[in-house]
Amino acid sequence: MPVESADIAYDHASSANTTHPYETWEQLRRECPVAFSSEYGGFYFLTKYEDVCQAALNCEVFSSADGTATPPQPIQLIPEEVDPPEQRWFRRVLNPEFAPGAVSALEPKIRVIARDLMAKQRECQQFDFGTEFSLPFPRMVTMEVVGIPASDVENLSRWVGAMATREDIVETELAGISLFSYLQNLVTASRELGGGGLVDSLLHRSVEGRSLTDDEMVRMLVLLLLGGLTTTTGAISGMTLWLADHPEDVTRLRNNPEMIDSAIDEFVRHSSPISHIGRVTREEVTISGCTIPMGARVMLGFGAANRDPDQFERPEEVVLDRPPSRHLGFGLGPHRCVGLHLARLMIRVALEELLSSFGSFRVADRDALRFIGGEGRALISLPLSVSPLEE
Amino acid sequence: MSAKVRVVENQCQGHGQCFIQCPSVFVPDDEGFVIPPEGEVAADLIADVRKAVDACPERALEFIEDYEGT
Repeated sequence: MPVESADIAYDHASSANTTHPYETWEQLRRECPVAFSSEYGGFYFLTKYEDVCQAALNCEVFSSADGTATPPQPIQLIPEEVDPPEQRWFRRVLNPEFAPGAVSALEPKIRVIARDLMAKQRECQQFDFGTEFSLPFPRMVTMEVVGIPASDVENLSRWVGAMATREDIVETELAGISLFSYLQNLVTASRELGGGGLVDSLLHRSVEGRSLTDDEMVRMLVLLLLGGLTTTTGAISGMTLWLADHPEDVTRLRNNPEMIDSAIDEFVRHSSPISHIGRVTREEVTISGCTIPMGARVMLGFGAANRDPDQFERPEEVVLDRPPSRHLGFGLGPHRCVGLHLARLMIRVALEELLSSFGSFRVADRDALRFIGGEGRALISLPLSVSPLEE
Repeated sequence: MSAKVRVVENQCQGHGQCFIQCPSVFVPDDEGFVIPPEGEVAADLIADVRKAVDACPERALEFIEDYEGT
């Protein structure tokens, strides 16, 4: 018998669910793992690991083509909001650009960016790790990777910054329009003049025997520019918050640098920068005994699934040497994060530079912690008190 | 007795967890997908290969024990 879900009125972008969602997620997982919320025109919300996996892996039933944000955004992003098999064609174009080998070649440049940002704070006793590091670092790396001309970086940083932190609705909207038209011009100019970088390289790749259209290029570039920003910010800030509160883990990482690589994925699981992602059902489907009708918007709770105690022991803790875990911090299935190797590299460089820049660090003002929420959830303000390394 | 590891066809999505857990057995191709390892798993790598199998979120890796080599 289908279970009728009561309205839980869950809003993934509310201030409570942005700042501290864990108790709500825990309660839902226990009492109503396939929940219905009437917010944003109505959607189902999955919070159990197994249920979220089932939906993420079944792209035929759980489609991304009607938008993955709730409510859906006005432009359809490629390849995130395209279903297989078309989705695979676009991924084939992007994958080589973000493969492990291509990404590791970027490490020296990424390290210089991180080191320069950290160096500015070395003499301080206190600074906002969000404003001064975890926000600008991924932004500067992304500009470098996409190949934005130096003269445009300042404007573009302002626009993507406004879109990432969404502090002001009007400003966010204007920034979106500016970014969109900038990218259209960039693609046109690259097509005519060349210019190297990722844009040029994408223009020379083919999709099912043809080249990408300008419109497809712009939809891809918007995703590349925005997709890796607050997500990586969230992972780096989340990691730093945990380490600020757990100096014993800082010591372990200093003494056992070989732990860093697997610790990174544990930090990503713990912070789950993409906490929610939307799908729309193409047919009626049953999840954990609950029937979801055709055409329903369904939100996959990656953040909630990553804290599911049936899948992860002591899920609320960062366990640096946790045995390999099938976490969903980078998503699952055909849509898994295209930039995950770049993200892992940025997180590792951030961690190494943090450890080599300061002897110790702790949260300076817990009331000033500020998160942004929605599909992505990230700590963007993290005031730290720091002390220098002892020589 | 020997062991092998198999990549389930079309299931790898390129998360790269196996490259982290056991880089000497699991190597990415140009798109970032795992190149199916050939031959038997060396005895001293079995523990790491098992970790890689356990770490794959897509369950794309299968550890085959007591494989009868031909």
